[in-house]
Amino acid sequence: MTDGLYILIFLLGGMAFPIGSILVARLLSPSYPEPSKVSTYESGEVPFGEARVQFHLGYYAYALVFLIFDIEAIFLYPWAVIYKDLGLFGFVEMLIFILILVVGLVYALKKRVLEWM
Amino acid sequence: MIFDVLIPEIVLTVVALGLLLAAAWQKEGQSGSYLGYLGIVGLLGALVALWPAIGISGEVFDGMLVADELTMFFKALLIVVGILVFLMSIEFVEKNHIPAGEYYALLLFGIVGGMIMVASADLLAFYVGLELLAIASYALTGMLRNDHKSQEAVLKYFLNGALASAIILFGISLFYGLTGTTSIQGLADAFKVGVNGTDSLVMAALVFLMAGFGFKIAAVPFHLWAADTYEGAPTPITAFLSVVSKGAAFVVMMRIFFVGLESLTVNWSAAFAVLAVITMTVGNLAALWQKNIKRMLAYSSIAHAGYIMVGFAAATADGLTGMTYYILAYALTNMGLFAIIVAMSNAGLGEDIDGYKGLSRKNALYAWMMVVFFLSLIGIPPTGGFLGKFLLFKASIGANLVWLALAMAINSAISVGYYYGVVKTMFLNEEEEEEPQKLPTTANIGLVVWITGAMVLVLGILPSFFIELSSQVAKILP
Repeated sequence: MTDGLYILIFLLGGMAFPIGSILVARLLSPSYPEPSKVSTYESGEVPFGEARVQFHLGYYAYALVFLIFDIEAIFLYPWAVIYKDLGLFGFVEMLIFILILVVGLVYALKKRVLEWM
Repeated sequence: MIFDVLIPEIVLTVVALGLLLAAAWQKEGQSGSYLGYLGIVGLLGALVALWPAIGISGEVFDGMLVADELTMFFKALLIVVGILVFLMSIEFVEKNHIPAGEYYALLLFGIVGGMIMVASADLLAFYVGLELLAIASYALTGMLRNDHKSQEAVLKYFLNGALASAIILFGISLFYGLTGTTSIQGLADAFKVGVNGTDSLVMAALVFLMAGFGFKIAAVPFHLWAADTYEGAPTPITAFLSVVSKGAAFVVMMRIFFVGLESLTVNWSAAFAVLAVITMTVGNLAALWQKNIKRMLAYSSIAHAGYIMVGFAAATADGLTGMTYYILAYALTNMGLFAIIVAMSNAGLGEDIDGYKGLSRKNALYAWMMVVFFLSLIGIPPTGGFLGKFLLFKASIGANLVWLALAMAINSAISVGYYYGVVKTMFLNEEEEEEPQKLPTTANIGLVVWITGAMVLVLGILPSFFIELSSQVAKILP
């Protein structure tokens, strides 16, 4: 039962902290609104249009291909670290792995996934 | 050793990648049938490549995959079923303008996923195989891109499948926390020594694993996605889902529960007994009201998952043998049945049971073979389904579960109702006066129907060889 109590205290403390800090900032900080201050923050760019826009469908296919090669990079790191211990077997194995991914890339290229229309 | 065991998977993967490349160069409007035949050649090659692995048993990849009687039996079955799905797909893919290269490549990837599942000796290897099969199945279910039903089917299947995967993974992580291993044999050893956790935690892990598998095999109460998905998917893919996805999940369950969680048999066998009765009863009762033949077979397939679970409820070597034989008979029967439904859909006769009016005069082969397949599904001799049901019946009596055997018998009687409805529609149509237009038997579908029909009868009349094979599977028991 005491374990549950600890979790409850953590839960309440965790909720109280962000709420408290937002409240304190609200109360203490001076407020001088002007147009450039209240506009949406776009990493320094001037924002345009609405937030509810439709993304180009091609974006998803593009992102998917990107994701695959992202994961390939993650696999390459540990492989590179123990490359010497693996020897020829490890080299050939990684070659096959990359070859399989390249087949996917060639497919995407031929299907014009990477062309932005 | 590694390559003796893995050649079939390697062959299929290479062929699938080749098909994908061929698809990339495929011209618009060009026939893709040759890609299907290429896939069949690949599958036949994989079947031959199984040969060197006969008799080999042991683990490969540091205990990730295993080769034994269970693996061999179901790898061979998966490849044979794959060939049948390819044969019934070729005309269907042409007619419905499905992108052929992608379709056949994904089918091969799915079959490889199933083969990894049945060969997995580790929960993580099983999970990789499961996802390979599941992701290929999702994409295949949505292949009819302009058909709203197909899109609805894929959305429901994907969301439920993803949820099921998450639940299975959570169960696996609990077992890992309890035992410190993901190896199935390791689980068994750890439970013998005693695990690092309370009984209620063990039960929670078991419940998550069973619920996740419940989704995958469409057991009641985790079945709600099945009817819509089976109805909306392209018909050959419905056949694939009802046999490959379900069968591979059952095989993994055999290994996990009978070997890995052997110490918990008392707990899971009782739960499976209850699930089995609920599943077969709900499946059969719901099937009675269906007007669409694919929906009807979806519920019938739910009911059959219930029958198969009787083997888990019995939790004996007989139960294991019975399940193996039942899955074999059910797989071949369903393949034949769906091949005829594909033929009807290719001929533009639709998927409603009304569309089967007078089929006996349009194509006597299809009508009579459908009767054979229905007899097998009901469990009436001389068909394979009868013997499968008999073996499970015997197993449940042997495990002192007479009430379960009784429930099976009552459910088989209920199922006669909806199968007979279709037979009546096919054979009795007095109101039609003139001779209806004949429906010619096409070569590919005809081949599937003859092969499966013959096999279903062989399984019923000359079963000794296959019973021997199925009882070999029980060697996995500790």
